[in-house]
Amino acid sequence: MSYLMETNELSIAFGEQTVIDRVSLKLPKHRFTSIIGPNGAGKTTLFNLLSGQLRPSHGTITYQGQVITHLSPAARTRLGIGRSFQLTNLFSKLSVRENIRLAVQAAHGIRFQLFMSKAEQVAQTEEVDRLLELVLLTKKADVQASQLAHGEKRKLEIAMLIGLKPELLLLDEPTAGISLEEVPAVLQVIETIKQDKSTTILLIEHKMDMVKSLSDHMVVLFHGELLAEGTPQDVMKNELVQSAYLGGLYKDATAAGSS
Amino acid sequence: MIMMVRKAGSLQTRLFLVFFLSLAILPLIYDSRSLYILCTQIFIFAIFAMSYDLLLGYTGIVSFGHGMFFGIGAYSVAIFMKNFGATTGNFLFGILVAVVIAAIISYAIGMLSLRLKSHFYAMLTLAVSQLLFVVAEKWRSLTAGGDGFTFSVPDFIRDRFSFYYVCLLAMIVLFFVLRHFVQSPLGKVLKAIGQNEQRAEALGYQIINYKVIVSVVAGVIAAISGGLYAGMLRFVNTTVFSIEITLDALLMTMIGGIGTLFGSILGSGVVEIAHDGLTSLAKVHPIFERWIIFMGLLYIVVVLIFPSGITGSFNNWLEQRKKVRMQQKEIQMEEAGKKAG
Ligand SMILES: Nc1ncnc2c1ncn2[C@@H]1O[C@H](COP(=O)(O)OP(=O)(O)OP(=O)(O)O)[C@@H](O)[C@H]1O
Ligand SMILES: [Mg+2]
Repeated sequence: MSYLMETNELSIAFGEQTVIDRVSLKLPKHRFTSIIGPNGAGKTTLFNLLSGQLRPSHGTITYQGQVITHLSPAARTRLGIGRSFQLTNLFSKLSVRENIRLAVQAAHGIRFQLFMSKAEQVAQTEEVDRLLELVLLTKKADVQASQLAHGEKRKLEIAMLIGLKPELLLLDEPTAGISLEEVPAVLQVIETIKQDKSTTILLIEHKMDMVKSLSDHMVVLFHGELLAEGTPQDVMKNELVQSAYLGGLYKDATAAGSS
Repeated sequence: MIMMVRKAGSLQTRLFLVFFLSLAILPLIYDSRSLYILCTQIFIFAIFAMSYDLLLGYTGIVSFGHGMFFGIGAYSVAIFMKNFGATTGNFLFGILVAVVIAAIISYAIGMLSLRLKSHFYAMLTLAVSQLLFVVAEKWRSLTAGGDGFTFSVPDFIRDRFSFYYVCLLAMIVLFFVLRHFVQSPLGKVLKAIGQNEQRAEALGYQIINYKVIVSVVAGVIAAISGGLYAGMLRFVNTTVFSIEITLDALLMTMIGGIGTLFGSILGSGVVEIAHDGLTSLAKVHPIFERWIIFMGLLYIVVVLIFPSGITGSFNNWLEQRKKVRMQQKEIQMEEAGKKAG
């Protein structure tokens, strides 16, 4: 199996606290990998390292055989690594359409041009319309991003990410904070991307149930360390995981059930 | 939907054209030297304020020393006129040299500071502009120090009527050029950076390149306005490098509405007319000589009542109206649906 991205002994510390501790990961190409771990396990921090928002204090990241540890976020995006943010991160005063269009423009490599051909304009508009439809935001196209409901913002974020056409998609808790009715729509969108088979997806989630069926490969992060990895079945059976992570979750579940 | 946007765009363009056309007719109706001078000054500062708006309004870059480019333009034209003679060629060459110097300095400042936290650019521009102020004071053989010097200019500049049109034309052309600039793919990225730098970078746009580009464009445009200003005054001294020039631009863009370009033109009109009015009141009471105090008060009023400036408030009002209309339409459609059902 070939790997799209690998990390080797990746670590980062904030002051005294080591948040990511010698994590060595391999992301199989064209597969769906999910990272699960409880709150504060270091999942978002790991993403920030992969996408370049943070620099590791130790270790390397390799993407398509190239060491990218020293590259800026923008350079990594242009290599094909796209990410979403756990806390919604949009151009809040621009319209929904314009938010997506900026991603599409970036994917088309239009960066410093002062003129845009009609053909390019049409191509961008069509693509934006398609993405709007995909995430069910067509009706909100001309609304300012700041005016959207939370779930809509998440969907906009996903549309922007797809518009970027990344080879590696990093999704940070795409269903966080959205209402229960909206969750299936978002999962549906993710399922659609997955079916495309040309993208490699890495998704963060702290509820294992959410991604069990989506994932080809699962990684458990606990206190910044890689606790276990394998197929979802293997991981669920793993005793370490059961005691450290699932144990807590089951307790939550029974507590929720009895109340 | 696209149709609607295009229609709104052309309506806006038509409004601009009507506005500019009335400015073009104005001197034909009123034959007043002082009006020509006032308007010429408004046009020149409108150009300067538009250049500041590129930085502040679109890209979110704060500069405390933007006036230095204005000063470079003014001194460059003045020195060429004085030393090489009052010809049109020398005037244009003076502006060209100013543009080149402004481009080099803004590029250097941008490369040095725009990678860092935003206040570095603000402080570095302030420092360099103060440095230029001192150079202009000390290099007496070239600048005659703080006293400054007068010089003669070609007839089309000395004539208030024709220079009115020169400056009006420069303002209109630069307005449309800059409008194209901010609406181009590059300009849209500038706006995105102004909104959310981190997100723009995550889309693969290299922030520093865009910031340096806009810093250079703004510097160059400011230099042109400074050149025109020297032509109008036929005199230059170190006040063109003073901090007040930058504050004027800040005031004008804030009052007119940042991030709109057209707001800079309105802002320049308001500030210059108010300045003019207050200065003439100085005969009544000397307090009016301190016109900057009143400008400060005006500024506070604007920030409190119209935080998005004249143009911004107008746009908000339009938005609001559109929203209400859409809602009405929806209600109508619903009612029609009920009837049909
Ligand atoms: N910039 C920072 N400076 C200091 N500490 C940080 C920083 N970023 C994260 N941390 C700490 O690192 C730990 C891991 O945070 P992180 O956001 O990666 O967790 P997470 O697994 O994404 O959690 P969640 O499920 O809540 O999103 C936390 O204890 C957090 O306080
Ligand atoms: Mg997180």
